[in-house]
Amino acid sequence: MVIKVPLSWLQAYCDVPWPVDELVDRLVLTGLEVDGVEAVGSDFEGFVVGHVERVDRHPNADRLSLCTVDVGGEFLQVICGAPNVAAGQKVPVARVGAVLSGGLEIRKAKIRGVESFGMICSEAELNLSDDHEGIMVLEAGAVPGQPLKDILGGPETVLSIDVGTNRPDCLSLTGVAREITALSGGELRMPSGGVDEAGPPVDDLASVRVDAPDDCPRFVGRVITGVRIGPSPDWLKRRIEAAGIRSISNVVDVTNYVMLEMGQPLHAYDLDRLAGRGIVVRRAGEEEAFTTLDGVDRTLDGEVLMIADHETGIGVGGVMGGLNTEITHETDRVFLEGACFDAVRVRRGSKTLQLQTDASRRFERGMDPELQGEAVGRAAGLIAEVAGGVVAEGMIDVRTPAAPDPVIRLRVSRVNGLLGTDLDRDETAALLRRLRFDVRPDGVDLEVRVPSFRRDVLREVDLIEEVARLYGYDKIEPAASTPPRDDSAEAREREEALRGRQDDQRRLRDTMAGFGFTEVVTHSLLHPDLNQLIDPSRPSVMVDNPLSPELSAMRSSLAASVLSVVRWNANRKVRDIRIFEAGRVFWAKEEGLPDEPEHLCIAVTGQRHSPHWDGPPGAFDFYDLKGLAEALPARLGLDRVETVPYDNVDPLFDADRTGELLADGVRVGRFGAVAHRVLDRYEIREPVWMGVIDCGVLFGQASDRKAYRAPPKYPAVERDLAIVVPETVTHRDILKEIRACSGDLLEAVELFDVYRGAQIAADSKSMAYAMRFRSGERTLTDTEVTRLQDKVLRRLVSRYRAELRS
Amino acid sequence: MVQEAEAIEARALEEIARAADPSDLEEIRIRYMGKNGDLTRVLRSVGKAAPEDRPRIGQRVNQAKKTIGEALEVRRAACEAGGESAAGALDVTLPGRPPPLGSKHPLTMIREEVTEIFRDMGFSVVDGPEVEWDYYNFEALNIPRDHPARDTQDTFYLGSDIVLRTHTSPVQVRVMEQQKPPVRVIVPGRTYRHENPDATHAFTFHQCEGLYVDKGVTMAQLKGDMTYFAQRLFGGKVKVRFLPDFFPFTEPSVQYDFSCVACGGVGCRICKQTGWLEISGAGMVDPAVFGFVDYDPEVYTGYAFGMGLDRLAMFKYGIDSIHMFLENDLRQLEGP
Repeated sequence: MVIKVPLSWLQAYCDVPWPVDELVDRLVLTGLEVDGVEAVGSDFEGFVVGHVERVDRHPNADRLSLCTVDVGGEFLQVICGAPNVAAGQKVPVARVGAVLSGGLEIRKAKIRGVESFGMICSEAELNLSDDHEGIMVLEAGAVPGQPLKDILGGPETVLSIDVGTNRPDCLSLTGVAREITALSGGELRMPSGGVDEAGPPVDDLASVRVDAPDDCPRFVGRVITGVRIGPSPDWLKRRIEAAGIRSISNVVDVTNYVMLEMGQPLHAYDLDRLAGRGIVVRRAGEEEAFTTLDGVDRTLDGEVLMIADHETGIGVGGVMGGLNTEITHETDRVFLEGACFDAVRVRRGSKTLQLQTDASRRFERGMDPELQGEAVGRAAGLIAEVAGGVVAEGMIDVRTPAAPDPVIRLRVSRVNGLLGTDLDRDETAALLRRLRFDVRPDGVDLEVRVPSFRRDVLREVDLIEEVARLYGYDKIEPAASTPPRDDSAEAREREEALRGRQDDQRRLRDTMAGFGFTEVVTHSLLHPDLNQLIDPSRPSVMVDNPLSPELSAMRSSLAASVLSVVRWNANRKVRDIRIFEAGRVFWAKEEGLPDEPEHLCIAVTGQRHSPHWDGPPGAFDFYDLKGLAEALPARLGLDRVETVPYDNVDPLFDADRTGELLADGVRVGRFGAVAHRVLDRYEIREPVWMGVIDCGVLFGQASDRKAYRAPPKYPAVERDLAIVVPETVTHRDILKEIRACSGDLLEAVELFDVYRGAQIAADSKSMAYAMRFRSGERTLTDTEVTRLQDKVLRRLVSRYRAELRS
Repeated sequence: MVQEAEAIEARALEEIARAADPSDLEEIRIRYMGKNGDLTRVLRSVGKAAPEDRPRIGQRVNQAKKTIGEALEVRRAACEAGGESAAGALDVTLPGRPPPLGSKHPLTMIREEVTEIFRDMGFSVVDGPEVEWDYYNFEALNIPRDHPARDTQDTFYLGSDIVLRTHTSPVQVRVMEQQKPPVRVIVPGRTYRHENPDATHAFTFHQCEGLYVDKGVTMAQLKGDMTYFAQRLFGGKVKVRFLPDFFPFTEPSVQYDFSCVACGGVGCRICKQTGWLEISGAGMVDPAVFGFVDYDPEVYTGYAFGMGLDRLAMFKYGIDSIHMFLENDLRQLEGP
């Protein structure tokens, strides 16, 4: 949570012995993250107080007013567009020559035919706040012609501090001041909760009953009678506005002022609007209707803590008050609430209402249970000061017995053991004392009593953090750790498996890049329709609260997003594309977490390589992709890689142009031409060739690494075989027979020509194979090889009606 | 006619082999395959042969033509490659035929660089699911349901107790459940935050988590190890600083910064004039987390750290937009 700290206000509670830059550095180094330093206001050169004498309609523009403003004996005609301008107001006026916060210089101007000699300013134009809804109205006592700086002060420096959820004690000016005094050793000037109680006893005026003590361990109330609701004095307005809170009225402003000052959220009720003049703290009923101060009608439930009077709800505990008891101009008697609400209860209320407020944020981080009396007293005194009225005698204080301050034993050896420092007991104690912990030596260790405002500190390790941050992390000397050695077989196997997998992942990408492919990385979230398009049988893993429908499903294949990359680039005239992505896909299961298999997706489109003066490169085709798809497993160490026709239906691919990739007989993936139906959906015009490989299966097959093979000792015999076979016979069929007949002596076989046309019967093709025979034990004889070749031919003739081609 | 074709073929091949430069080759081509070339003449006469012989003869003549043509090409290429051209050397300035240049994605490159450094430091590399139980992502990291720290990690939910992991930290718990100390692992991986993307925000991030648990692990070691890492990745002059921070699963917790790798720490646009680059969070493993995995915090201590791989890649490769990573503009990704 970010709080704004006006420096001049902060200095009311502590001295700041450093320039702003140094202050910021010191705060950052001890744990307060300063997000920004901004200058608010200015010297207001050329700005004066003006008294609006009269307001007339601009003759040529309905929404503009023609104002006559007294700027100290001199009367200026000023045109003003703000709806809230009215005669009798004291307003800030920028005279001709003054420069607004946006840099605009005020000049004499003619607006719709009427001259204007200055400008009545909003707070935004004065660089006081973001409020530019209307002009700023000054207090009635301001004197026309008085320099604005006299009223608003000079420029203010405001720090924005992002306070972590663990440090609720710093969500106030005094909290920040306490941190500064821990650094400086200076004095902390806490505001007093003491108040002059001139009114009747408070118990005669109001009562409080807490029916939910777990949700509200403490509830403090005071009553101020005879108040006059009106605008706040400028000093009050300026301070809270510099801290980022809009001024509403004197009483409400005081509650906010004290919240900013001390960190205790307060709420002011109109006592005379409380039925039975009493407050009951209870849970809301199921479906209890309630209208909050912001005018929103809400439906509550039993999770919400309700502040009620004797009839109905008047506030959501720790979140926001109700419209029914808000302070109005008629309010005469104020009931002031300062409570300690349970953090979880406030958070539930805030979540239920989907409403976060300055109060709820503070409560849900944990409240100091000793703060309420002081804060309510402080606020009562301020209300009496700025709104008149009398503070009733005494305060209502309903509380469960306060738990004693926790006492934690801190082992100095543990401090050094965790931090790697060499602090002694007394140094450690001194650091904690500066943070206002109550520390007593106990032998070599320390006994530390934790003050109520540091309820985040519960354990020894929390104290060690306090020591560390105040000591300074920059003083911790870096040391190298020695990697532990675990010699157990289990640890070795585990490590080997992890490394193998990682090496595979790396080799996969290296290989693809080596093949000339560019790696892409895409989002895992997409529109579920794209999953459906590519893998219709698989239900998508859906996100409950997506950023948009286009990002509402986890991808079930890489193809969808890789095709998006193709389209995106094709739209930018990148037409020759060779890309791959390796990443996870998400497959829903009946129960529990989805499977997250790792896939590789390859996509190519366009020309084989860039154009060259020597001739056209030719378009990518099925066999380019096939060559690649088969080379990849081979590169990963798999020996037997082959492609078979895919006889099921994969909607990603064109049914006639799909191959299934087998590695050592196991299916590792499919590839082929992306189906027109899919390409149309992506509005891709060119054919795209794609391969999808399951990396887990591939790596699993590749786990037996390639072993060294000695070069052959005996010469090979090579033979060619050209046959004519019917079209229905596939290359794979022929290979199978060649292999079966040749046994171990066949070292390699390669198809080197396929021919159709003249001299070949229709429905037939000629296929020519180069075979290489070799034995590991002896030199093969010519006769032996001829016998093998004849055997192959006979087999092909008998099985596939093959004819030898002469 | 077949014999004639064969003889012509043999003679031509012999002459081609003897040819010294492309102009010789051109002469040979005209002599055999030109309009009145020897082979052309034979081809024309095929029509005069007996009809049953024609296919056989035609085939042989065509084959001779093909063979001679190929031999001419091969010889011509050889002459040029050997610079034997009578007209002078070949034009070495003509563009060559480049192989397609593949490339790995910057996120892959940074992940590999980072894991290599940590492997050298004795860390194992592990991973875990991206769709994760709330328990691992939050509860067991000491972030109970009603903790305000949940607000700082806007979360995608898939049902009431499954999330897209908001950090790689859940793998800490998974590893410690599986394994007794010592544990020394890093976890590179993808994470998700429910944030509308803008100039500096994305909803997908890539992180690398680190965890080291053993007897006697200290914050000083965390600092020393992070310094070693920073210097391996960015060079020996990089410094590391720790600032106090808060994470429910470490105590003490720090934010760690590297001195700006662009300006060396004097202040520039990249480091917003501060001289420091915020890298990520780290700290000593909170005893509460040890409680979830049954490690005795009196015996073991540990450090944990995170880092944003996207950010490291930006600093390392001078990438200025976080959105570049998943945009996949091939004009940017391709090439050297």
